[in-house]
This record gives sequence, structure tokens and C-alpha cells, in this order.
Amino acid sequence: MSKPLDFDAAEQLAMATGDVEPEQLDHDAPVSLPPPGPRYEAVPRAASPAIPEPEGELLEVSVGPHHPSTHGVFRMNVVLDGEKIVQLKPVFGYLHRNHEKLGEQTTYLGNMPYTDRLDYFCSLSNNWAYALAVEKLAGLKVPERAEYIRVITAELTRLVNHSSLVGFLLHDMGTMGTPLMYAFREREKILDAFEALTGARMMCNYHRFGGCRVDLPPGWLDQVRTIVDNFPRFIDEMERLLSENEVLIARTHGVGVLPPELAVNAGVTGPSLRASGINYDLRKVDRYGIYDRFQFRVPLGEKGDVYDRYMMRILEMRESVKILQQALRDIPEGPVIDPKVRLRNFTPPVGEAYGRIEAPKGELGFYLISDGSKKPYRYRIRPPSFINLTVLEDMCRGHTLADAVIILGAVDIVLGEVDR
Amino acid sequence: MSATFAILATWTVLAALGAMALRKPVHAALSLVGALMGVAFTYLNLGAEFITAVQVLVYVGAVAILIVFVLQLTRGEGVEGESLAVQPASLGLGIALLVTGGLIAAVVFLPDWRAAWPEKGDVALKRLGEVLMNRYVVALEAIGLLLTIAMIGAVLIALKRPDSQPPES
Amino acid sequence: MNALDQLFVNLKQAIVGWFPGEWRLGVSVVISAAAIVGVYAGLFAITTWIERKGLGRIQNRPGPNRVGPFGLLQPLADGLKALIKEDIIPQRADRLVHTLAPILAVVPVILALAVIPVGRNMVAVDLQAGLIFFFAMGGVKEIAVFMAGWGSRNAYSLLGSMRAIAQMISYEMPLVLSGLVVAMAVGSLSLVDIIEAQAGYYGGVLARWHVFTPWGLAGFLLFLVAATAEANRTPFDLPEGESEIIAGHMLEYSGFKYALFFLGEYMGLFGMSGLAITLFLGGWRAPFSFLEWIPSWMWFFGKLFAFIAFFVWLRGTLPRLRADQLMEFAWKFMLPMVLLDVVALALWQYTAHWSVPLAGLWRWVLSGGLMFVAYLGLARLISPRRRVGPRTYRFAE
Repeated sequence: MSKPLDFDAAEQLAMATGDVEPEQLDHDAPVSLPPPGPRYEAVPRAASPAIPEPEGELLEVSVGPHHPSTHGVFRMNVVLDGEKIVQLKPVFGYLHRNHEKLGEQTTYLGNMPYTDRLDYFCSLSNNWAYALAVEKLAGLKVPERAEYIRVITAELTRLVNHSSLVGFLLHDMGTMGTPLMYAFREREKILDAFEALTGARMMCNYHRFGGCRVDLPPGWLDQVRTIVDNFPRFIDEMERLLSENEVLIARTHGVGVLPPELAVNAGVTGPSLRASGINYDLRKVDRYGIYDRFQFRVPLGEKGDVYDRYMMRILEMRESVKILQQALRDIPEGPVIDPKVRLRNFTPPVGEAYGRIEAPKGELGFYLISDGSKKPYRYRIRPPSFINLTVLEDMCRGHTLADAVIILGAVDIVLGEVDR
Repeated sequence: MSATFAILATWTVLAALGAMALRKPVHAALSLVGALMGVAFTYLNLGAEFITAVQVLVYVGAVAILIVFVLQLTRGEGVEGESLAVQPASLGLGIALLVTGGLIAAVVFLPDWRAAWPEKGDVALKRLGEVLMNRYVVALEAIGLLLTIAMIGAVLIALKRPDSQPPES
Repeated sequence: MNALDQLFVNLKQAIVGWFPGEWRLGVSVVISAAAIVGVYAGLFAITTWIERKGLGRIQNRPGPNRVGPFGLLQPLADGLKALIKEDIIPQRADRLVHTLAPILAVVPVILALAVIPVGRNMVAVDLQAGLIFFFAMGGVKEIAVFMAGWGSRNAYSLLGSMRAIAQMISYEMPLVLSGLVVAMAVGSLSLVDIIEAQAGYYGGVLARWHVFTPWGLAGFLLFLVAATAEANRTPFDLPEGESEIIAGHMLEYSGFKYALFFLGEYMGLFGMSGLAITLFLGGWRAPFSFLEWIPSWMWFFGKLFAFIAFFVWLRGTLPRLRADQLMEFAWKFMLPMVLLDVVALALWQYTAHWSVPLAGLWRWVLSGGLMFVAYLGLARLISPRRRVGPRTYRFAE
């Protein structure tokens, strides 16, 4: 592991480019920052290039919607030349639930539980992003204790998501679910904590505008402390079993490379973007909530292939543990919700707001327009899995179908969020 | 003629006819596999275990697989639906009769071939090996060399040359 | 002791003896065939239980535990389920080919099992060319796989069957060659003779199994890898590749036909394990002279269970390779290694009469050293690490 770089966070957005060549890096010398300003020209993405003349006959295969490794009802229309992919068209919408339109027919509070169902692995992060958007719209302040609880729940969610993702990725590689079951063993402990806090294991619904629903149950912080203190052992175990595994290295190195230019232009966010070497983490860029109080680092990848994306998850889990330890140490006593907020009959002033957080899968944004009534006039979501999925074809072309499966696995999608 | 031989012979002939007459190339290929298996079991019936095993290993395990592979790779190039038999039928029939007649004539009239009929059905494997490695060693090595050359040639044909430019279109 | 060892042989002779003279040959054949089908099918049932239970324990879960004590009746329930399930033939499938394929997937495997000796005097047919016959039957299985893939009229099935056949052909080469190394050492293709050649004990204690020689050890490991691939087990289970091409050539099968494919797969696994035991692990012979009192068939099936446990362990722990990596491994590593194993065998045999001090050690150094050096060189050649090297990750504060 290299020594952390001394980046000034304010300059990060400007240089969210990471075009510092790894070999130029001298970790002890001061880093010369590139001049601010956009580093990438916006290149319109061309339509799929014409299929090159194949040697044999092309075979069209429809992978999905009922396929064990499409992670839900998702379809890829793949054109194969032998086993090489020449074209891949993602087809989705099988799980479309009219989420955005429903949001416009429902009160602000009534919409809160719907957000759990977007990315059902990370319901608490979704809650937070929505709450953040509404708080911006109504100009609400969040009590100190509630901010800490939000960070704790969001980072626990990240641990759940990343550990399960590594398990699913390995399952796609054919490990019969052994790493997945190891990950689920840890996930169970966190879900127990979520259940104690929110009453639900997966569809947790806990954040509110201006804070959180109720205060923590007695003993909850100790429970979480135990989980967090034991978590690095699990990460070590996973790394020992997987990171140096010969087959995993053979399967993931150089597979599904996402060039940084393409990643930026396509709007890819989250671990996939950082695996391509671009330093962009909303927790550092926006410093929403109280993230500026914690010491943590943002890991950056080197090649942008599936292995880097896998490593990003592992390294981010380690950083999340650090954040959690600090938050659990510093959490103050106090109210968890602003008593002046009237959740029922909640009517924000006329206006618009965009609230975004660094969800485990990338930038999760909620855009709201209020016309002063009890329901939002316009409700729009920027789902990270959906936008990360748009580069799937570029990553898969030229690889085999077996690679496409793990490339898709490493993108980390949840169809509830993709289709909404 | 024993009953086993009659069954095997009928089976082999029927399967061979199927290989000629069936419309779908894959069916014909599978029928050919049946004929080859019939021949193999005829060998077994004669007590030549080793020849049986080699027949299955080489013809069913390799040649037949090669045929179906080729059929798959050249799928849709116009052979589907047509009989694979030689056209016109009389020409094919003539060649078949000529070959069969020649074989029968050789067995019936040539004294050498009749004399070589073994008394015991058990061809000693060791003796086969010794004969191959002593008396026919040159022929064996020549065949090995020929096959190696053929394989290298096939690899050369299949090899994509990285330096060759695709033709401008 | 001897009675127990020869229990089944005597039993069969007694039964055959009840019949009049001209019937005896037929009855003997029927009993042998029934024994092979019955024993290995029963073993198949137990193996599915062991596999599910073992995988469960590897993955922190109990495995089947509802049907019968410790879930032992689970295979029965599974079999019943397979029997009463609807048997679907896709409308556009080739009905005849589609139906014949599962039968053809099982029959050659059972035929191949017939040549493997399971105990002293316990072999259904002692063919002169038993070893070649076993491999030939493996070749027939390829036709069954093709028929299943083509007859189902499904892109996945076809892809899966093509993958399976390519893999089987590629790994048949090292498999057959490592088997032939043993045949060269013994000078016979009969499996009974091969076990006979492994009689006796080093120093009166350790059995003279082929695996305890340098070429035998290398041959055994190579054979094991090739057998894993030939039996479609992880990390070479691409033809089934659940997460990629779902079940490959078996995709369109349901009910009992699907069960037949599984029966064929597992019986193939038993056949491969049995052959590995016969060629390198002394067949039904005991590993130490003081353990000879255990009946010979118990040794065979004990070793077979050890193999099954090994394959379950592999399946629970390893990811799957990609098709091209699989081929690369077969042709760039397995094949040269097996060919060098022939040289190692030659070195071992030519130095058999050395009379220098510590001759045994020197023979090991010579023959084993050749294989070890070749392993080091070739492994480095194909190792993914040679190409990638370690990665460093940067961190932004």
C-alpha cells in the first residue's frame, strides 16, 4: 500500500482526473498538482461501432432475463463470434415499478419507504440521500447525534454491500457460493443490528427529514462496536482466501478495462470510477453530513479492470471500518430529530433541490421540485447502478461471455435501482 | 454365421444406409457413428479387444467428433435438407459395388488372405506391438511423420498472421 | 479374514452354481452387470448426499437435514422428484436425438466401469486392452454431449456442448498419455495386470504403489488434474458453468433425463477415480503390510470415498477457469509435462540396476528432478502472475 497523497480536497473536484501517472509518483516528494479545470474533453459517445466481418457465423444469445448471473431480471442481447462478444445490448425495465411517478403522487414522508426498495441492499443510504434532498429543499438542520447515526448506518450499509458484492462476484466466477456464504455470515450480524434499530432487516426505513425516526435502542452502540471491531478480521480472511488466488487473478486481470476518459464521459461513479484511477468520492467532494470530521482515505485503482474493482471494494471496506470506529467513539448524546419539523403534513417551500450522497454503488442523487403542496411536483432519481451500466458494452466487447458475466458482476447493479 | 454376427451386421448395414440417406447432415453423421460402433462390436465379437477399443477411440471419439464439429462450424452453407449421397445415385452405387466386389473377390480368391485367418480369436496384444515396432517400424514412423506434417500444416492455415493487413474495402 | 475378502466372489459362485451348466455363463454375466449398476448407482445416491452435506459445511450451513436422519434420505426424495417431474421436450427439438442423448451419456460410462477391478478377483471383465477400452468409452460420451447440445435446439445448449467437447478432447490427451506411462512401466494394458505389478512392499512395510515413484507421483498428479477436467468438476466445470451458460448441454432436459445426465456425470467421476486408484494407488491393495487384514474391496471403496471427498472439497473452494485459459493449461502445461513423464519413467527404468551407494536416492533425484524442474519452468510460463506483477494502490486523503 502506498503512502497517502496530500491532496487538498478543494482542488480535488477540479482535478478529478487522476491522470497522475503511477510511475511518476514519488510518495515522499510533494505532489505537483495539475492546473485546475476540466481535464477531459467531453467526447460524444459514438453509436456502437459496426460489427467487424466475422470469420465464422455470428451467434445471437439472449442472456436473461431469467439467467442465474444477471442479478435479477436483466437481459443482455449478446452477439457472439465464437466465444468473443462483438455486440452487447443491455435490455432492462422488467422490474419497472413506476417509482418516480409514484413519488409525485405521494406525500414527501409517504415516499420515504419507497426509497428503501430502490437498491434493496442499501436501503439506509437511499433514505439518507432522499432525506438530504428534502432537507435542502426545506432548509432543515439535522441534530448532531442524528448526523453520527446517519454516518454509522450508511457505512454499515457500505460494508454489507461491498462484502456481498465480492461474494456475488466470486459466485459468478463459479465458486459455488462459498465466499458469498462467508460474506453473508458477516452481513447477518449487521442486519441483526439494523433489525434492532429499524425493525426490518432489508427494507430498513429509519431516516427522516431533519434527523432520524427514533433514538438508538439501549446497547445498540456496543453491538455495532463489536461488529466493527471484528470486521477487519473478516476482511483479512477474505483477502487471504481471494486476493492472491491464482484463478481469480487469471480471471480478473485485464478483463473489462474501463478507460478513465470513458468513465468520466459516461458519468460512471463509485468504486468503478475510482478503480479507473479517478479521485472522485462525494464524501470528500461534497463533505455532506459530517464527513469532514473523519480521517479516511479514498483508494484509487491502477488499471480499471475487474481486479481493481474488486480491490476497491476491499480497500473501501477497510476505510469504512475506520470511519465507523471514529464515529462510534465520538457520537454525542442529544436529540435525534429537530423537534420543530412537522413530518405529517410536511410542506416545503416552492423551489428545487438536488441531494446526493456517495452510496455504495456510486453517486445516488434525488432531484425534487416543490410547488408548495404536500407532494413533490417533480421527483427524479439519479441511480448509480443504472448509469454505471451504460458502459457495459464498452467493457465487454472483445471478451468472452464468461468474462461478461463477471464484468457485469463487478459493475454491481441492483435491478430495483436500475429499473425503478 | 452366428446370431450375434447377424444382428451386428444388420445393424451396421442399416446405419451405413442411414448415413447415406438421411436428410439432415447431423443425423447422417450420427448414423455414421452407429455404423462405426457396429464395426467396433463386430471386432469385439471376433475377440479383437484392442482393435475394438482403438476403433471406438479413434473413429467415434475423434473422427466422428471432427465431423460434427465441421458440420457445426459450416452450418447454414446449403447442405441442410439435401441428401448427402453422391449424385447421380447410379454413380455412387457403382462405386460401392465395385469396392464391395473387390473386397469379396480378394477374400475368396487370393490364397494369402484366407491363410491368415487365425485359429484362436485372441490376438495377443504383445505380439501386435512387437510386429509394429520391429517389422513395420519404418511404416509406423512414416505415418507418424505424415500426421505431424499434416498437423503443422493445419496449424499454419489456421494461424492468424499478425502482420498481414486486412484487405481495404 | 479371507472369507470376508472373497465374500462377494464366493456368493456369486454359489448363485451361479445353482443353475444348470449351459445357463451359468449367462447368469454370471447378469450378476456382474447388476452388481456394477446397483453398486455404482447406490454410490451415486450417497455421493449426492456427501456432496451437498460437505458443501454445506464448507459454506457455514447445515446442508440437507430434513429428510431422514442427517438428511440421509435426501437422495431418495430427489430421485422421486426427478421421476414424477414432467418430462419436457422442446417443440423444435429433434425428438429422437434429444431422447437418445441421456441414455448414451450413461451407458458407455457403465461399460467403462466394468473393467475396473474393485477387489481381489473382483472384476466384471478383464479385458486385455482394458485401459484403452476405458478411454474409448470416454470418447463415446462426447457423442452423447454433442447429441444433447444439438438435439435441444438451444444456443446455450450448443455453446455448452461445443465447450464440453473441446475440453474433453483437450484433456483426453494428457489423460490417456499419463495412463500409458503406467502401461509402459507395467508392460500391459490390462488393469488386473497393472494392479498385480504394484504388489509387494518397500522394506516390507510401504506398498509398491506407482505413486511412490517419482514418475508415478508426477503421473498421478497430472492424471488427477486431467481427470478433474474430464469429469467436468471445478475448476474445470465450464461445460456446466452455471453462472455463464446455465447448465450447458443439459439445459433443456427435465425430470428423469436430467437425472440420467447427473448419473452419467457422477459415474464418470467414479470411473476416473477408480482408474486413478488402479493405475497409481495400487487398486484394492493396502498401503501398509500390516493393514492387509482389511478386505480388498473395502480398500478400493475407501480410496474411492477419499477421492469423492477431495472433489467435493475442490468444488467448494475454487473459482472456475475461462475456456481459453483451460485450453492453454491443457496444451502448454499438461501435455509437455506428460511427455516429460515418459522420459522420467525411462530414466527410472534404465537406472533400475545401478549399484552405486544410495542408488535409490540418486534415481529419485534424477527422475524426480526432471519433473520438478519442468514443473517450475512451465508453471512460470503459464502463471498469470508472470504477466501482471503485483499492484499498488494509491490513496487520496
